[in-house]
Amino acid sequence: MQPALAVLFGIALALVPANFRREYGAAMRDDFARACAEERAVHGTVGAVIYTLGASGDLLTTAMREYAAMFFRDFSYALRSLRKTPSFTAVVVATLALAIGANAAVFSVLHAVVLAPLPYSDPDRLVALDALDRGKPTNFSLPDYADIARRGGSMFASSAAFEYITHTLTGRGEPRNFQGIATTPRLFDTLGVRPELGRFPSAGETVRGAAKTVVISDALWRSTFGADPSVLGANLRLDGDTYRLIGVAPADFHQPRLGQGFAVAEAWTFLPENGAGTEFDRGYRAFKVVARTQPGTSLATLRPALDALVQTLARRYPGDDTAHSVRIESLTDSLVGNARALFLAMFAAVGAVLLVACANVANLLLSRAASREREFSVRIAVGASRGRIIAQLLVETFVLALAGGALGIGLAYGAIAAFVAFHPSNIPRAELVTVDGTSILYTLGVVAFCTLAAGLTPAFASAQRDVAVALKSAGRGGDAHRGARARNILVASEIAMTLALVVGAGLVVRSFIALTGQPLGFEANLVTTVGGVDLPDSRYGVDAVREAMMTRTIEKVRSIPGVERVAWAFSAPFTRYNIGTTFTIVGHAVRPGFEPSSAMDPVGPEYFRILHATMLGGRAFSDDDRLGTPRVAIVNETFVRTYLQGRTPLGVQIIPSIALAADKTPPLRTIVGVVADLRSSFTKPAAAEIYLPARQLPIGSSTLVVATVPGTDPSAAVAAAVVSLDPLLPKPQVVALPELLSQSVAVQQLSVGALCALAFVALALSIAGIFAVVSYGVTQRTHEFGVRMALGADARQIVRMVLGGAMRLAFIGVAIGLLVAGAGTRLLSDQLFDTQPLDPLTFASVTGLVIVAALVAALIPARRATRVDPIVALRYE
Amino acid sequence: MNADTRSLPLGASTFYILLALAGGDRHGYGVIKEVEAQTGGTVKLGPGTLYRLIKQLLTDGWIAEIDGEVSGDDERRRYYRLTPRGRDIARAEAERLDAVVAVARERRLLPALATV
Repeated sequence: MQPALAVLFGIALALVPANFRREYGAAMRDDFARACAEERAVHGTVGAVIYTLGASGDLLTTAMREYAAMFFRDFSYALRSLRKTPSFTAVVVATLALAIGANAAVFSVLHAVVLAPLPYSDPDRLVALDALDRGKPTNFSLPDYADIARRGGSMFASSAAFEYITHTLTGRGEPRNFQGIATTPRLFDTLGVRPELGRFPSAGETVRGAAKTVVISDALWRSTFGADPSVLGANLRLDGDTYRLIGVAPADFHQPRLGQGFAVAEAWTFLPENGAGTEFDRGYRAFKVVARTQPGTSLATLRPALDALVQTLARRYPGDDTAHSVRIESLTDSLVGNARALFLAMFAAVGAVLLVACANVANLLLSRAASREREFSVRIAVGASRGRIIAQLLVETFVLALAGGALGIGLAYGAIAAFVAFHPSNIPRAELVTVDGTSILYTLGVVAFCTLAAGLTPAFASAQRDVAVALKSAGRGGDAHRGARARNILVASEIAMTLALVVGAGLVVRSFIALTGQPLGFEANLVTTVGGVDLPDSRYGVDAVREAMMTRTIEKVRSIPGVERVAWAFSAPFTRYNIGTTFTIVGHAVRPGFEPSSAMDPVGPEYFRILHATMLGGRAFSDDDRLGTPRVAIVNETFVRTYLQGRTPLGVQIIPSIALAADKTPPLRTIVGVVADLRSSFTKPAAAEIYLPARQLPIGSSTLVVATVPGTDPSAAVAAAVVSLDPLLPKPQVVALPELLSQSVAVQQLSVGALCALAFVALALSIAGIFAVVSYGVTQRTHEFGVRMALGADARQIVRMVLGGAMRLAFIGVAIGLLVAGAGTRLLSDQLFDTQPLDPLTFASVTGLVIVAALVAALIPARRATRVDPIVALRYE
Repeated sequence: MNADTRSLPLGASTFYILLALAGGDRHGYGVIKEVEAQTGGTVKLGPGTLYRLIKQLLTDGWIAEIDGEVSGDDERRRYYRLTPRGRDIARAEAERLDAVVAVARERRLLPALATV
C-alpha cells in the first residue's frame, strides 16, 4: 500500500462533512486500504493509482451531496423557524429589501450609464480633443482641426469635427424642428458605425459645390418616412435647402456629446475636411473633435506628441497671442466622466445604507438568538457541533437575505422604471438603464455579503455559549454580556456610518442651495421663452422681409392678453441656442484669422427690461435702433473685463465679423451700453457677450422672450400667434424661464434628493437600532432595576443610568463617524459648489441631529425602565 | 405489493447493495466485493457512495446495523443486515424489473425463455 495514495484519499476524506466522517471515516479508510491493495495485487501500481483517483472523486461527489442535503435541511428548518416569528421576519426582510433594492437600483444605473463600454467599435481607441484658449475649453475651427488631422496621421487613424445645429424640415407633413449634426465626412468611420440602410458619404461628396447629402436617424426614418426603404435617394428640404437622403443611421447609434454624454440628433449633414475659404474659416470656432487613435498608442504617448504638433503649428502662425493648446482625453472619460463621479458617490451612499441595514439586522438576530438559547443548548447537549449551529444560523440569515434580495429586486425594478420615465435629460444613456442579468448577479453578491455581514456575529455568539450556564439560566436570559458587547459595537458602527452619510447629504444640500442661490443677473419669474422660431433664409432671406416679419410678430404677441412685454433674442438665458462671432476692436490691430471671439446675441429693445437686467452704464436698445440708423452694440461686464481692460467702454467701436447679406464688409458698431452679466448656467461663469439690436441683425433661429402678467398663462396663445403669421413655421416650444432653470440642475436635484432619501433611511434604521438595543438592555436588566428601586433609587436615577449607556454608545459612534466623514467627504469635493468638504456648520449640525435622534430613541425604553414594578421584578429571585 | 412502491424505481447502487445484503449479513467491504461479483466486475462501489447510501438505508430502516463478529484479522467491524422492510422493497424492485424484462422478451430484445 503506497502511503501517497492513502494521503490523497485522506485529503478527499477531509472535505466530507464532519458528522459523516466521524461516523464512517474509519470504515471508509479501511475499505479503501483493502480495495486498493487488491487492485495493486491484480493490476499493479497503475491499477492502484486509477482506483485511488476514482475512489477520491467518488468521495468528493459524496461530500457535495452531503453538504447539499444539509443545506436543504437547514433551509427548510429556517423557513419553519422564521414562519413562527412573522413580525421579526417581516421587519428584517423589509430592512434588507430596502437596502438591497437601493443597491441594485444604483448598480443598474452605474452599470448602464458609466461602466458599460461606449456603443462604438473598439471604444478604447476613441479620444476627444478639446481646444483650449488661454486654458479654457473652447471649440475648434475647421482649419484648426484640419491642421491637426493632416499632420497627426501617426497619432490618429481617423477623425472628425462636428457641431450641433438645429434643422427645420419642411415639405413632409407639418414643418418641424429637430437637432442635427454638421460633421466632416468621417464621423461614422471614426466611431466604427455601419449604416442601417444606404451608405455614409465618401470624402469627395462633401467638397464645396457637390450636391448636399444627409443621413437621418432611425427614429426620424420611422416617424416621418414610415420606415420606407425606398426613401433613399429622395430629396429633403432642410432649412430651405435641398439635401439628398443617402443613408439611415442604426437605431442604437448614439451621437456623442463631448463633455456630457450623448446628444439627440436626427440628421447628419456633411462639411468638407478643410473649411478654409468657406464660411467655416479660422474665426468660426464651433467644432468638437473626436478621433480614433492608431493601434498601440496610449494617451500617455499621445499627449506629448500632440503638444509638439500644436507648438509646431503655433510657430507657423507667429504673432498669434491666443495661446492655443489642445487637451486630449479618452472618449469614455469625456462622455461619462461627470456621471461617473456622481454615481460613484451615490454608490458609496447606498453601500453605507447597506452596512447600516446589516448592522441593524445583526442586532435583531442577536436578540433573537438570545431568546433561543435553550434551543441551541439542547442541540449542543445532544451532540450537534458548534459548526452545525453556526451553519444553521447562517442559512437562516441567508433565507432572510434572499427574501430581502428578491423583494429588493422588485423595488429596484420600480425605481428604475420611474428613473427611466423621469430621468434628467443630461444623464447619458439613462433610457437604456434596466435591471438585467448583471444587476441580478450583483444582487446575489449583495445577498451573500448581507448573509455574512449580518449573520456571522450572531451565529458565532450563539454557538459560543456555555452549555451548562445556558441550560441552567435558560428562560431568564442570564449570560447576555457577550451578546451585549457585540450589540453595542454594531449600534456604534451604525451610528458612525449614518453620521458620515448624513454629513455627505448635508454637504450636497448646502452645495445645491449655494449653486441655485447664485445671482444670475436676471429675474426669471413671470418670464416665458418661446424657442425655435426659425425664419428660414429661403423665405426670409431678404433682411427687410425678415425684419418686417419680426416686427409683425412682436405686435401680434404684444396684443395677447396676459403679455406685458415681448422681445426677440437669439439665445435667452438657459436656452440651448448660442452663437459666437469673432470681432476686432477699432484701434487694436490683430493678425487676420486670429481675432478674439465672443458670444453674440441680437435682442429686442425690451429684452433687458423683461429680464430685469442691470445696466451698468450707457443705455438699453430702443425702437430707433433699426435698419438704417447708426449701428450700436451693448457689451456685458465680462466683455469689458476681458477685452476693454482700462478703457472707457462707452463709445468704443467694435467690428463683429457677422454681417447682413446687404453689407459688403462687416460694419462698425459703437458700444452704447454695458450690462451686468446674464448667466446662462449655474455651473459655468458668464462668457463675454456682445448684444446687438435684433432689428439691425435679423438672423435665423430665434427666441421670443415674454414678460407675462401675474396669474395669466398666455403661452398657448403666443405659440398660436406665431404659427398664425406663417403656417410653414414649426410649432414653437414655449417654456417658462424658471422651468428652464430647474431643468438645468435636474441632475444635481436628483442626486440631492436621492442622497437625502438614503440619509433619511440610514437615520431611521439607526434610531430603530438604538431603540432595539436599549429596549433589550432594559428588558435584560428588569430584575436589577427592580432591586435598585426597592433599595430606594428614584425614576430619574434609573433614566439617567439607561440614557448614560445609550449616550456613551452614541458618542463613540459619532466620534468614529466624524473621522469617517472627514475622510469620505473628500471624495465629494469635485461635486461640491462653494462648499468646503469639511464645512463646520454641516458637521456641527449633523452631529447635533444624530445625538438628539439617539437621545429620543433611548428615552422611550428608558422611561419604561422606571415603570418596573419591584415586586414583579423580584418575584423570580 | 406490500412494499412502499413510492420509493421505486431504486437507484442502481441502492439496489445492488440491497441485493448483496439479501445474500447474508456483510460489512462494508464485503458489500463492495459482493456487488463486484454480482456485476461481473463492472461495478466497484467507491467507499463514499457506499457509506452515503448505507447511511440513507439505515435512516429509512431498510437495513440495520448488527454487532460484528470477530473476524480473521481480529478486527471489530460493523455488519449490516437487510430488514424485512428492506427485503420487501428489494423484492418489489425485482418484480418491477422482471416485468420490464418480460416486455423486452416480448419485443424480442432478449431471447425467449426456454419452456420447462
